[in-house]
Amino acid sequence: MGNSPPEITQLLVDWANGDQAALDTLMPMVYAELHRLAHHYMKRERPGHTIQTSALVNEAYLKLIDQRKTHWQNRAQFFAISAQLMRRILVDHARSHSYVKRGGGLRQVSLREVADLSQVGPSEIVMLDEGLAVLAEIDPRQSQIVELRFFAGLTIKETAEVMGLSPATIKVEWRTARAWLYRHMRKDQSGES
Amino acid sequence: MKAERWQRIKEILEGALQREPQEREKFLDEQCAGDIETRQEVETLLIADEQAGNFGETPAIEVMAEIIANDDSHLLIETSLAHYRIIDRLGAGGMGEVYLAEDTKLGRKVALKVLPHSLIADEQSKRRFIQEAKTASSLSHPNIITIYEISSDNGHDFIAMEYVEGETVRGMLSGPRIKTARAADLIAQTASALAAAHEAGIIHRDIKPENLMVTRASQVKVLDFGLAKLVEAQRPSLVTSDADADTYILSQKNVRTMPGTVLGTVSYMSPEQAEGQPVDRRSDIFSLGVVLYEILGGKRPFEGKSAIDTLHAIINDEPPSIVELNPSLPYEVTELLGKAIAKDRAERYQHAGDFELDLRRFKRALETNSLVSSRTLAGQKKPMRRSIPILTLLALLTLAGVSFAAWRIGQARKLPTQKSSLESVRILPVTVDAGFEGEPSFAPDGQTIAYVSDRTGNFEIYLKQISGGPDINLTNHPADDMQPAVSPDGKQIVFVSSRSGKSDCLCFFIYGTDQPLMGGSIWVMPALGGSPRRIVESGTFPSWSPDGTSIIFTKGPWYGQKVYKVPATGGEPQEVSIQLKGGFPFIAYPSYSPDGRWLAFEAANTVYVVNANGGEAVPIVEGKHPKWSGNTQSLIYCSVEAGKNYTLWQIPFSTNEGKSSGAPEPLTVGRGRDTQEAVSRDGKSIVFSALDVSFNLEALPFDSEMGRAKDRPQSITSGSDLIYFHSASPDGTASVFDSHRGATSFIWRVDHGSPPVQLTSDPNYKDSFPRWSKDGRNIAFNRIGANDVTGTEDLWLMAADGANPQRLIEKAGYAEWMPNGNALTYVSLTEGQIYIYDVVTKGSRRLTNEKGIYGAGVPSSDGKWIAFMSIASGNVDIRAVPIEGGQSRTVVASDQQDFHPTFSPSGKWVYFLLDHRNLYRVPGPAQNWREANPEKVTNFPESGLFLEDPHISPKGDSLIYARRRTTGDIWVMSLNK
Repeated sequence: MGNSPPEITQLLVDWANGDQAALDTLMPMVYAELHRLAHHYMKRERPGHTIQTSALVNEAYLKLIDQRKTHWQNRAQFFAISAQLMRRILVDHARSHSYVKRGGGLRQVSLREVADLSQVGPSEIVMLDEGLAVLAEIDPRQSQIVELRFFAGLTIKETAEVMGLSPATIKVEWRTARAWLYRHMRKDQSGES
Repeated sequence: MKAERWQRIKEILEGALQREPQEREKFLDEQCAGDIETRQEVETLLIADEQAGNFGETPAIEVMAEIIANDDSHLLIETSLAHYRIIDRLGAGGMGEVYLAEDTKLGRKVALKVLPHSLIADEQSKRRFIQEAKTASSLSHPNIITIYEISSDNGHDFIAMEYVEGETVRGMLSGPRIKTARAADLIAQTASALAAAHEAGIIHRDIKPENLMVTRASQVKVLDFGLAKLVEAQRPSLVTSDADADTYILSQKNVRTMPGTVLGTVSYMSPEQAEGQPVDRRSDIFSLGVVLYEILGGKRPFEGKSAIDTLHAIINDEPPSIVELNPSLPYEVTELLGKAIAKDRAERYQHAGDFELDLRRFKRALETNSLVSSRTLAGQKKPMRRSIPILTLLALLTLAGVSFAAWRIGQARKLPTQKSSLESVRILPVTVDAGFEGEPSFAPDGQTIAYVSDRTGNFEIYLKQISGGPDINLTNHPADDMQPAVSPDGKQIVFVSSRSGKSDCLCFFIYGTDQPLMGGSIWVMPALGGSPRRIVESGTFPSWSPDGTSIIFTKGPWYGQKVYKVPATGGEPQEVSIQLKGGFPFIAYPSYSPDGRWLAFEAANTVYVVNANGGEAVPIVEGKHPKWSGNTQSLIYCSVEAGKNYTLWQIPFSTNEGKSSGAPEPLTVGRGRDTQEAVSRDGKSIVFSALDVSFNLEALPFDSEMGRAKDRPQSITSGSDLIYFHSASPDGTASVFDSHRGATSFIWRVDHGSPPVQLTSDPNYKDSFPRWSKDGRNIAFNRIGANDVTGTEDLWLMAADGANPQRLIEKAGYAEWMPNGNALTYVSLTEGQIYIYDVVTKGSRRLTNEKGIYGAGVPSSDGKWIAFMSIASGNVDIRAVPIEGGQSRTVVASDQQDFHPTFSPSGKWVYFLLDHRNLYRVPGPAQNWREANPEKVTNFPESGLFLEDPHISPKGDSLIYARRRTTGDIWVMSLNK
């Protein structure tokens, strides 16, 4: 694997330090990397097989972090900021895709689609992101766990390491968060508040 | 919800989840202790947990991976691909994202289409796509989007094309209703683009409103030529493509499982596409008809609930009548649409050009209000076609011999001048026969033309009124009669005939493709028939002086025609001495200006003007076949410039200064190859030939020992580009050939039975004369810089798949491989001598030492002799030299022109072309060059025939050659002045 362009790491650091402008530059660059990786991994897979997410994600992170130049205080900070970045990128992209599907952004969700919530697609990613924003207000730590698990693609064990918590705690937090988000999204769909 | 409250709920939820379901009730009773709200919260969350299943367990990146992999929209603004800086995103389609970008090299705006990776995973279909897209673009048709470049950068394949401001017809469909005349115009423009593409052998396959861009000036630009093939080839789940056989097999099962997903495309499919049958040009015509129907009727003719329903409707259902959908439409439109979307393609328009023509007529009629809406028509029949002008017909038939009267009567009839605000030019067909009709010449009345047709099997000269009426055969002779020119007083016609037996082959001129190929003797006959008399024994391209007292013509060997003048009554021709800067004087079509001061002519694809008495000629413009407009103020010519291929143009001319006085303007858009124009004396009408020239490889099953054809010839290619030279693979299953279009020339390969594939495409070069090596691995060819004016080629070598082109020998060409495959002969273009080059030692040795060598040195099958053409005698002869070198010997020196020697495998025979028409043979080295008269071995009808580069196949069982056919019709263009 090649090294990441140094500016990606620097921009990530800048963004972590509060430079919002860095994000605008960062997103297209990282997305381009993701795109390249995704394309690469898709090509490798036989049709119908799921891609090896962990490999893809690991490689994506390798691209994000320039090992020689990191100013990260710790692993947690890096993954936290990377997960946020991934979330932004993926949701942005899912949003543009789900709007196409829904025809001009109209939220017409049929009963069939409600039943299909377990099958997450671009529209569900957008809804999940919105739900997660609500969850973050009442439980920031739990929201971050979901961010790391769902958007950054980390395993329970990796999430536990990054968060400095036990895997058991992560497991429980993840399960309750999932239930909350699922209920939230269904309410959202059926028009309840 | 407050954070503390959520923590409390979460705590209870966690506790409940850790318990078995049957214990939860009790646990909740304890924990909530009457707090109904909290209990409800936890209970709903427990249900959610149960229902959620795998919800969220698949990371977002995995959900998005496929979408991301196939997405290119991240190529956001301000980044660059190659030297294109992306400025803005213009849109997206099934075939990629489109961006507005700036070409930083050329400083112009371009549209950049970035192709989805999923489309082009397969290199072969990518190559095929690039080839088709480039070919379509190279037509330089005003209604086909221009592609600047197809390339890739950073893993992205993209197409850089002409940036057009406007919107697609799809976009227009969602706006205000498109007026009927406008719709007819848009569809006519599209049909014109399709006609040009079809002529080049390209079928669009995906004509739909999304692919028709309309500029602000209402010009249609057809997008995405070639892309449909790529997509279909890449969607095995929906459509499987056997691209080589050009067939598409729709898997109906798969379509059924994907309702709606491909509806947009399916709606415009032709019945044959829907059935998975082979697709041809008529399929595009159907799709275009569907678009027209949608524009006029507001809905598509065939529409079902799913793709499969729609396909079913396309194959089986009759669409609702368009006038039922839109009663304000004139009834004529149903007929037009009926011919476009007929289920049986034999009942459709056979050519997009016919569809275009009908649309233009329809539009014109709309604008002159000569059509009534179907509402008011209510069952009326459409008006009868204007009857033949009886008086004119009678005059022509009965007054033969009383020459002047007919012209007078003709003169009384003016062309119907329909004033139209939008069109100042009307173009109508004069002839519609299947074969060749061309070389029109106006009589002074501006109503009658003399022209040439091969409808009887040989070329005869006919007379006809341009407004209709009978075709009167004036010559009726078994020989070929052609190139008629009516005298200024209308009493006589001068023409060229092969009737005196000997004819000079003007084969060189047919390379320009606008000339039935030969000269002969020049004759004059009374304009309404009668006995012709010969005034010149040998010559061609005759035309009259303005006062009718003399005739100019050209004469000479094929490599150097000169202009002569002779009294119309006969006599000794006098040369009009003309100096041309550089090159051979390939002078053709000399004609006097109406004021008699100038001569215009064509030489080497350039229009020249020279003083009527001769002198140094001034180049006017790149073009062919110049004709003066009625008043010497302009010249009309056929442009051969890139992008204006074979369209008629007009350039202003200053008779005082003797040069052009302004920029050329277009007159025609290309009905075919528009040429051979003639201008009426009042300058208001121009007749011209729209020629359709095909030049294809054929294989004739042949016994090379007996010298006899064994069967009928079979076509190997089916295009319309010029093919000069070709070479078969050693196993005889494939051929390579050079294909010339406009100023370009590239090498193609055709595996017999498959569509051709382009092997070279570098626009910096022109490539020709391919020769396949004996081991089948390499192809030697001539290459020259695209703008090289010296005409000196280099000899190049490339792999048989077009890879690794490398220069082998500078200033050399015309390679022929030796039978052992380790050496080749070539011609040094600086010395004009034949050399042999050893591929292993890389050494060269000269074989010949004589003047007049023309073309390649062809080895005999045992490699002991090299045959070649020679023009040393002033004619074209065939000679041969031993491989050791030394004195050459005459093989054939007939009094006609002997071309392209090729040996039979046994070496017993040398076959050659006489005047590029039929194949003859003489005994070869294995018969010790026994003397014998040439024996004719093929029996092609000779009118209009032109064969090139014949080869006996390696097994000696077939004869492969390039063959030209020309068909065409005469059109009249009326200029409103």
